[in-house]
Amino acid sequence: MPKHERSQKHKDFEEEALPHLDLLFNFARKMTNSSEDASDLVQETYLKAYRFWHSYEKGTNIKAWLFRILRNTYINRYRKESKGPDEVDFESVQNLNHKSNGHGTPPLDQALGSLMEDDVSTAIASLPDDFRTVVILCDIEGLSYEEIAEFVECPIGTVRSRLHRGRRFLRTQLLEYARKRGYANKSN
Amino acid sequence: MNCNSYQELITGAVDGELTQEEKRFLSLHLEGCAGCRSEYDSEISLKTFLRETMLGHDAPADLLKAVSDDLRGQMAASPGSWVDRWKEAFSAPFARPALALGLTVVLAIIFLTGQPSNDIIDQSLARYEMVTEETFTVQYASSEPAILKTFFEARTDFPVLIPEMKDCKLLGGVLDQNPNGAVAEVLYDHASEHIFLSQISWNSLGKEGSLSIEADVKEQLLKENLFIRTMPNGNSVVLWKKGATLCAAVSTMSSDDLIYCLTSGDPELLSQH
Repeated sequence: MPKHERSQKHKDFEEEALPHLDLLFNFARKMTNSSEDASDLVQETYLKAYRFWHSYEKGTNIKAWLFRILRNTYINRYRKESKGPDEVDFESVQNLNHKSNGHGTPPLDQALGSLMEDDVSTAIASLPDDFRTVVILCDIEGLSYEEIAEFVECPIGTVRSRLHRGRRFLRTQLLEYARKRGYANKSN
Repeated sequence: MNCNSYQELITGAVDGELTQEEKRFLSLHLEGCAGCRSEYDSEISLKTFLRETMLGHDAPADLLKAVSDDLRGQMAASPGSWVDRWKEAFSAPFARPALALGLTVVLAIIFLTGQPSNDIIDQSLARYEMVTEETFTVQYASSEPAILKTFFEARTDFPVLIPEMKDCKLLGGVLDQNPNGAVAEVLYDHASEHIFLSQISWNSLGKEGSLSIEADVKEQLLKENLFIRTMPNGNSVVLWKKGATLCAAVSTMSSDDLIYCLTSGDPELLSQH
């Protein structure tokens, strides 16, 4: 590549891709529940993105493109390291969904008030990957279903059902932490 | 309908993602069901709580610096593609006489920096790793060869082979529009091993803006139509020419197994020569 083209590529990349560093970091931070791991992931993501910049179609959603690289990097790194917990968690989400339709759970507000930010991070980190991804993107990053569907490459209906189950699971976890923190819920 | 069938609608309502019709449908139910109303309230509380508690953290300042440094390192290290350097050398006004020398320098740089060359085999091996490591997801995932065929037909000027091979599941395809021309890539799963077919137009081989091929490999392809190489890491590469298409198959399988699969999809493969 001629020098001027190379520096043009560099400039384009810096202008288009780098501004999303905070978004990627935030997402990675919540997925890994660790600032250090998140930084590593983001760094690797940008390296890959830079190497494959030519395969990014200008004018398409750059956030979604970067996000997919981040997510694949994450999956490759962490699926290799631990396979077990996700399957177990997924089972419990399934069971939960069958057993309860949500009725009879106490109002959340008071229970949630007793929680620390760390509890919430841990609870989110304990969600299975697919569910955690949509909960973070929707509830924390504030993306629409359509955007999430583009990010994770699945139908909008799947986004909704993962969100539903993810939140259900999260709520159960959070109530459990609240109980441990000494919040006695009145209906028990 | 029982309450379970309203649960996902509640989720959609909390996120403001229902159609007018869904909204009406749900509110009719909520009017008469205290249980679902409290479910709705809980989900709203949770969403609000998450948003408030998990406010974004800005990326650490040193991360931006680390990423920028990485990129600068990449830019300095990248020698560009073989073809681009060739063009670069060629376009300089005084360069024509010095072309041979320039080419030698380019080759030396590529050799010294160890960058993957423009060679079809090197490129297929590199892309195989990227695709199977999921650095890239397939653009078009379909287990239906006809659908994938249509995808490629609209985008390539050579026929893309999508053989139906025994015990192999078609996973999908990617079109790599890299600076060296279009490469059609088709990925299969065979008992959880991958078979990756990287295909380019035979006529564009070695031309400007396309991939190159080693002279002796080309010679053998012209003579026998088939070229097999086992890499030091055990990966196999099989090259063959079919009409206007040059196909490079890469897999972790042994070359015998790979050829067995390939011939199950194209019986002519071994009988052609």
